[in-house]
Amino acid sequence: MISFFTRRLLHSVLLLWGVLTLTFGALHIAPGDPFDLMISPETPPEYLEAMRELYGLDAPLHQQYWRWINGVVRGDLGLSLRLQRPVRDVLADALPYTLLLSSLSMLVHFLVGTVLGVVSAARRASKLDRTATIVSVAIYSLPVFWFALMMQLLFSYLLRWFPSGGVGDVPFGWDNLGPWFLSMARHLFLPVLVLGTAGAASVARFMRASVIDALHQDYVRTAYGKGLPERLVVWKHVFRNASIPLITLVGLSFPFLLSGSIVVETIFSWPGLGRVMVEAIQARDYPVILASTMLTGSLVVLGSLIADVSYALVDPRIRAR
Amino acid sequence: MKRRLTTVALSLMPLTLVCLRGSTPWRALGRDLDWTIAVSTALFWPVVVAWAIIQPRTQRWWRRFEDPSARWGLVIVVALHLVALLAPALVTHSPQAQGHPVFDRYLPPSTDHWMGTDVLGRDLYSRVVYGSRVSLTIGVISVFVSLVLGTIVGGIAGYRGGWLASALMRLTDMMLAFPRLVLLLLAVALFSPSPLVIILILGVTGWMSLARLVRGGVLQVISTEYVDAARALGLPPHRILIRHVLPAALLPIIAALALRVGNTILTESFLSYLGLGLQDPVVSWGMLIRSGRQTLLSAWWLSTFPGLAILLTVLGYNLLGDGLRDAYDPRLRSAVRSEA
Repeated sequence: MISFFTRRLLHSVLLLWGVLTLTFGALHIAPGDPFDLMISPETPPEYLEAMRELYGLDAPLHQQYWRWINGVVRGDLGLSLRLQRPVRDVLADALPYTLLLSSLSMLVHFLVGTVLGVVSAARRASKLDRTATIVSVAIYSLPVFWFALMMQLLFSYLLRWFPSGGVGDVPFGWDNLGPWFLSMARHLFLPVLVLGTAGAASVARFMRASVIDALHQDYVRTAYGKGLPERLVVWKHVFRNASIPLITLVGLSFPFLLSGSIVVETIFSWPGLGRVMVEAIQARDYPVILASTMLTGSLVVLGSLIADVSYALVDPRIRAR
Repeated sequence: MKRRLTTVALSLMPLTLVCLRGSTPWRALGRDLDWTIAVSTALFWPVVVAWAIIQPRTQRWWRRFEDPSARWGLVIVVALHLVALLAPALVTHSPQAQGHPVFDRYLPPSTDHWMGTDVLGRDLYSRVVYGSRVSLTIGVISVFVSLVLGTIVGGIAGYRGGWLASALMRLTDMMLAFPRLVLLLLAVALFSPSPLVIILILGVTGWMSLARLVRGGVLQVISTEYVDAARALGLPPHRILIRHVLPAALLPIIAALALRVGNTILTESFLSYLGLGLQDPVVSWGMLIRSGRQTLLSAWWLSTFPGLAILLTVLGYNLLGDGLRDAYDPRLRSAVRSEA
């Protein structure tokens, strides 16, 4: 088990290094640099040169790469070119918001998705199953950003139930915990609704297939044969076996959640990682792009690591490979 | 017989090309995309017809569409591709024609403007219809690019094995582990987003799951007797791979391809929504939603209709893909039969 874990960890670190080197290469091979976007035609060229020198963009590529890797190892991610702040602070501000949003959405989409999937698989070809299948295909086909816009139009412009974006201006403090919580909940409702619904559909589809697969196993026939009521068979025997693949799905849903939060954060102006990333990419803020790529990459790699390890814990056959 | 029908289908290609070249309003929209769209729309139909004909004789192709979801998916997809092909005949106004600067702005849907007008008085319905060409083209061609890449990687990894295979699959896993949207945003921000660049970027970031499927298919097929027979006859490996292994290994992948087209259309529309995708004067659905975002409350139609168009298209492709997947999975099919 220990050796399996270390081998997996080593793979993950190598994978992350590969992704980062690719990103670094792509950023610097592409024509233009961040200062091209900041200057006007009147900016004197000497000033530009000075700026490039200040940020080390005039050095040969391998030196820049070496300097950057060195910094990362020491925990120094550099200075944002656009915000003039340490990249570490920029990311540290954004990360809690993204984690909050995505963990809540994950909760919604696994709860709703699992129940929907199991119920429609158990009542296969019933009216409920057919409706659930159609609805989940439709949700699966929704452009998430458009769905978010429509929810905004309905709930915050027409009905005025929820704010259209942002996090509110109630500061966090122990004495005003109640108002803070209420404001957070109001601001979180629409983003979580959108992201959670989008994910629930794919979990439901997956769960339905998995449960249908399990329903055809011999032990199900045995369970029915010894006279167990259907509810017990479905939830105790079928669901337990069918939910093993769900562990993998939890780990592998990290990329989906991160991509999804990019979409949702842009629309609901949620100050998380996704928005930081989109803004950095639009401004070509190299240090922020690299660091946030590293952070999302690590989260994804961590997700698949957790999935692999917990899978190995459940199923001993995998450890041997 | 089969071969003759395929020839007929392939000769439809220049015909459709001619149809498209004649469309005048489209010409104004830029040569680059014009060319791409002509080729893709022209390629799409013959490929579909040829695929239907090449099917094994024991299974008629329409048997694949017994399932209602596959049938509806097919109907929607075919209808939308017809709309894309016949766009010049279907529109009521030119998609670029601007109306009166005061009286034609932000008109709500009416009998004259079925989906209303935008800030410049342009007819939204005509723009949505023309947008179908862009979305479908980008979806279909970039999935084709992914298919080619995925077949090369998956085919080699499945057929050869050894260190090359494990290196290729490592690469696949590495790219699969990374959020695709992040890769796309990076790539799109770094290279100027012309239609061809967008197609290539979407294709190059989408081949990984297909490579895995191809590899699985190849591994399954090379253990069959007819491949052993081909080997025993002394055929060279590339010939065995191309003539005997790949056709059988690629057949079940058609379902995954349909699902990928839907997914790619969604991704492209989000890039365009961010303003990082296609640029004016090309009309894409994502861009139309973007332009209606500021006036969501006063002119709701500007964002709503293009979004419905995306939804319908992706729904069609997803239904088709789901239905085909069930049709190709014998286990699922027998389960359905035994229950019916």
